[in-house]
Amino acid sequence: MDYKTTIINKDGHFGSFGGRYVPEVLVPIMDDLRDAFFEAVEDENFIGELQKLHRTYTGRPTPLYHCENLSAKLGGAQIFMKNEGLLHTGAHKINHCLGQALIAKRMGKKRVIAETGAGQHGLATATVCAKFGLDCTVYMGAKDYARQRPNVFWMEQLGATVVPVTDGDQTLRDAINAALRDLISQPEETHYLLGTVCGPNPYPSMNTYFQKIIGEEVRTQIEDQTGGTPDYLIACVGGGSNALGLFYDFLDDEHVKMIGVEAGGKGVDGQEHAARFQCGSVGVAEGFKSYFLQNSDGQLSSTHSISAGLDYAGVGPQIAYLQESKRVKFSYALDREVMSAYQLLARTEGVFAALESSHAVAEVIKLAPSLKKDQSIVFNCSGRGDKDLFIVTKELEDAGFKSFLAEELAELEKGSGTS
Amino acid sequence: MKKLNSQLDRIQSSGKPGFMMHMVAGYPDLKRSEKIATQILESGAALLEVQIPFSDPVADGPVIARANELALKNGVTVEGSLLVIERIAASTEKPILIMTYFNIIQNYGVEQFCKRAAEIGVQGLIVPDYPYDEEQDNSLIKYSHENDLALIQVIASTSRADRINEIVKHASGFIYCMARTGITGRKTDINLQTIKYLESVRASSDLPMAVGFGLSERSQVQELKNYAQIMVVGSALIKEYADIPIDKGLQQIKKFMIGLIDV
Ligand SMILES: Cc1ncc(COP(=O)(O)O)c(C=O)c1O
Repeated sequence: MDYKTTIINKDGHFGSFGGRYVPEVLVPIMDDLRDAFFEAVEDENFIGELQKLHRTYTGRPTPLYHCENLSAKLGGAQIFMKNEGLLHTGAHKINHCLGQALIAKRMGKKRVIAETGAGQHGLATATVCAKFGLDCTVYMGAKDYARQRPNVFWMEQLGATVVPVTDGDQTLRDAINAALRDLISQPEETHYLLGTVCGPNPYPSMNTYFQKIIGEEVRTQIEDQTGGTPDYLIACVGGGSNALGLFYDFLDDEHVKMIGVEAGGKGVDGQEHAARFQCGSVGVAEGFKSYFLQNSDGQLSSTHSISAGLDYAGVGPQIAYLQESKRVKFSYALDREVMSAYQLLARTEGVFAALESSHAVAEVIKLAPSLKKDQSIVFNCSGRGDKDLFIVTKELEDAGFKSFLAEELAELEKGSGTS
Repeated sequence: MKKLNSQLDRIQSSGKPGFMMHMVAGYPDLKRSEKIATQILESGAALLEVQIPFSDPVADGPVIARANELALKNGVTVEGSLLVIERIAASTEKPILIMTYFNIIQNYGVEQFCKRAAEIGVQGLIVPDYPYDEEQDNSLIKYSHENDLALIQVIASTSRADRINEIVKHASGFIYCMARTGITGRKTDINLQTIKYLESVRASSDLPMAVGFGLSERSQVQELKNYAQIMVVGSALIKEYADIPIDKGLQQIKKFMIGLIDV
């Protein structure tokens, strides 16, 4: 088995998936980025700086925590949580943002652009740009821009320009298209800091490289705690960056089983989900070949998930390859299963997982009882849940929060009236 | 490719540039887009590039992207687009080319799409997100060739010499040069760098050259006509008939093209 050499490779094809399906104007830009990246990771100074910043800035290593209460409650396997939510900015996204910012700096780029859906990747991008003094523009679908105001505010506080995109559905896909158009019009001075393991070569390989530290840490941590390797790895899959980050180091450990969890939304029989492997087909869009939710003409579909970070019609090409070669199994979690998983983890372990990560928790809840007590599951808590305050309070119809907002608003309006 | 090649010969021997006009099938709707095609062809276009709309048109600027979006909102399908293109092609001796993104072709089936395009009288394909290096798993160059379609290769001003030399090996019909870095639809200033770039492409291939992206004015055509035989006009033309009643739109097309073409 040599999945690892297939999954990070310079050519950017993973079986028939991946590639670099971009307008000719971007070909040299992508090739330069690929060369710069593969050179950088051979450079001790680059790796040294990355490692140092992980220790001092992002907060690595993150803990691997034995969820004893949850394990006891479910009555099966021992459950371990890799807590990426404790990272600076609250999610694993900072791993590839830091890595790419260092690459951008190395290439002498002065300007960084990014797409964002919920704003997590945009926030992590704005953060590293503030740190490295890079000019930062974040594209965001106009709908997301309106409903994710807190993250827009934080990005602006960090000095980023946030541009609402009014094309199409006004969500993540449109933001990606807008970012690509920006890159096409100013390719030489700009680095496009793409936020997951999607897009044209070299993004899938590069972001996997910067995320694989998650699984590498897990290997030593679980060895310390159990003396062995895990039986199962579980992660949610939007584009696939946190999943590949956890899986990568174990891909060639044949006995380690892996499950990716997609957004089942309101059910995979309807249209309101983002379960590409349940209902999608092979396509080419946004620069790469993979599985997409699309109609029979090849027009990409609108998607839905309770978690903004999983709400995307495409999935990373390496993920499609690992699905096709059956190395990774895929399931999905429904919005309502995600909400109860979120609550269960909070009550049993005192951890608010991001709603994206709660998809992985939902799968753990289904799987653990069927396993033996000496078996182990590691799930990726890719982000922490405080960012989802507005969604969760709405979902739980929290009356107190509603009146709090009303009072805050009244207070604000009164304030502006008198001043 | 017979119609295409004889038209290219005609342009070459006339000593004047030929115009390839771009439009979106099904924009504003199928019926009206057919009328628009007829008007464009009657107003002096040498070639017509008809785009089959796609949900994620990354290489297009805002004007064309919006036309794609509105066409799809109106329920335009690939089949509907192909039927309109078939009627347009049957109505004219001028070459018709299909422009679309690779996902449309791959969903239809690459071989089937090429066959069908040839059957309905199309002369060539322009697929902006299909660089030749992706041929191995997809065979679009192969099936275009087998069905006597020109698969138009695009060269950008960012393309480097070794890349240009590779691209031209796969070229047929003519070579499409983007006049500047950038997406379609913004005005291009023609400077020394542009001229140098066109000259370097010229030196690498004997095929006729088309130049496009950002063309809207006669003055630009004047500057470019010594370096390329075909002028491509897209967004500027769509702007002429966007959001106005069709009769008015057809008049605008005529007026715009007379202003542009009579060099
Ligand atoms: C916390 C968290 N987890 C997961 C994801 C999904 O992305 P990916 O599949 O690339 O890890 C996101 C995306 O925004 C996220 O914020």
